[in-house]
Amino acid sequence: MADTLVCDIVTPDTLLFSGEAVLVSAPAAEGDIGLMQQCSPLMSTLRRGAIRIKDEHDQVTTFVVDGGYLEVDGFKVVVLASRAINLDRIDKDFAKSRIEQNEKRIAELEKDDPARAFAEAQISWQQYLVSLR
Amino acid sequence: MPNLKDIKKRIGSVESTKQITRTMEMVATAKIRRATDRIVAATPYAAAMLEVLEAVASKASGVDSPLLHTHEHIKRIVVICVVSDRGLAGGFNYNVLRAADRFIQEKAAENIACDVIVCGKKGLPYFKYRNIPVALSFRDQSADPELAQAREIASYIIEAYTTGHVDQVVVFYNHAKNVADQVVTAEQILPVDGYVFAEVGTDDEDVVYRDESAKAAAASQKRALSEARESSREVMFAERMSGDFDYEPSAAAVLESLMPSYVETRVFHALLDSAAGEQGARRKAMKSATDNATEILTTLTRVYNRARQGAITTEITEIVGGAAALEN
Repeated sequence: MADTLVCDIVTPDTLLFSGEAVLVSAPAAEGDIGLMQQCSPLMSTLRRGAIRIKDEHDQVTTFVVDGGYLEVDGFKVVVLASRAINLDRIDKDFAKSRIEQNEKRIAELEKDDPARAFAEAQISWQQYLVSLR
Repeated sequence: MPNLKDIKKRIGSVESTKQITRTMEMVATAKIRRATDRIVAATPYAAAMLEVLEAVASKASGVDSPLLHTHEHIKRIVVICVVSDRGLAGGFNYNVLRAADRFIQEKAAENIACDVIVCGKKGLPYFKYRNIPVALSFRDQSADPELAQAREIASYIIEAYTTGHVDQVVVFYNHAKNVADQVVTAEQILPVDGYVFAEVGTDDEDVVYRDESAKAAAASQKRALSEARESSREVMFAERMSGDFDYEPSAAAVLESLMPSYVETRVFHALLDSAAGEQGARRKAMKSATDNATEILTTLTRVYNRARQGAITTEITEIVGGAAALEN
C-alpha cells in the first residue's frame, strides 16, 4: 500500500477532481514541483501548465491549468485553478470555435472595455489548449 | 343579476391564467434544483479560497495590498445590484432595488456619490428613472450566471478601487436562505475584510433597519458570530499546520495574486445565490397565484350556479304565473 495524498482540483464552477495520488507534479511559480506524502507544507502560485496525478496503479491523469494556486500540507493537495480541463477532454474544434467567438466579441468592444481583457484571456487559453493537441 | 355568459367567460380566463401560473411554478421548481446544484459545485472553490486566503493573510501581515487597504475618506461607492431578468417573482427584484436605493439615498445625504452596477434586466429602468448613474449593466444572464460576468465585474471594481476612483464596493443581492425564503443581503466586497456587514431584512419585512438600536444589536450579534467562526477556523488551522508553510514566490506575492480571484469568487457567489433565490421566489409567487386562482374559480363557479338557478326559478315562476292567469 503506497502512501498517498488526497488531491483536489477545484475551479470556480466545479470540483474537477478529487482522489488519492501517490505523486502530484505541478507547475509552481519557481519551477515544476513534485509532491508526495509528507512533503513540506507549501503554498504557491501556479503557472499555466500541466498537473500530473499518478495514482496507486501508476495511472497518470493530466489536467491543464491556466494559473492558480496550490496548497499542500503533506497529506492533502488543493489546487485552485482559474481555468482547468482534463487533457483528454480537450476538444480542438470547440476551442477553435470559442476563439472565433471571442475574437468577434473583441471586434465589437471598445478599447477600454473591461470585457476585452477577459475575452483576450479566453483566446490565449483556448489557443494554448489547441497547441497541446 | 350578472350575465351568465359573462361569468362563464371570466371562469374561462381565470382557468387559463391558473394553467400558466401552475406551469411556471413547476418550471421554477425544476430550475431550483439546477441552481442549487451550481451553488454546491461552486462551494469547494470558495471554501478553499477562503482557507488559503486566511492562512496567507495571517502569514503576510504587514503586506499592504491595495485591496486590503481601507480608504480614509469615502467619496464614491460602487453598489452592485443583483436582480433578475424576469418579473413574476413576487418582491424578489423590488426588495433588492429598494434596499440599494435606500442605501444610496443615505450615502447621498452624507455627500457620498454612488455608482451602480446592475446585473439583471429588471434593475436598469429603476435606476435610470431615478437618475442614478449606472456604470455597468448585464442582462439575460440572471438565471444562469457565467463566471465571465463575475470576472468582468471584478476587474472593473478592482481597477476602480486601486486607482482610487472608488472607495468602497458593496453588493446587494437575494440570498437563497432555503428554497422558499430569500433574504436581501448587503456585503462589502472592497476593501476586503471578509466581514458581512449587514443582513438587511427578509422577504416580506421592511428591508432596512427601522432604528439604530436594532441595527447596532444585529451588527454586534453578527460580529460575535463571525468572530466565533474565525477563531474556530484558526484552531483548525493551527492543528493542521504543525509545520509552517513555505511560500512560492513569497507570502506577499501569493496574497497579491489571490486577492483578485477572491473578489471574483465573492461576486460569482452572489450571482449564483441570487439565481437560486430567483427560482425560489418565482415558485413561491406562482404558487400563491395558483392558489388564488383556485379560490377565485370556486367563488365564480358558485356565482355562476346561483345565477343559473335564479334564471330557472324566474322561468318557472313565469310559467306558473302564466298558467294561473289562464285558469282564472
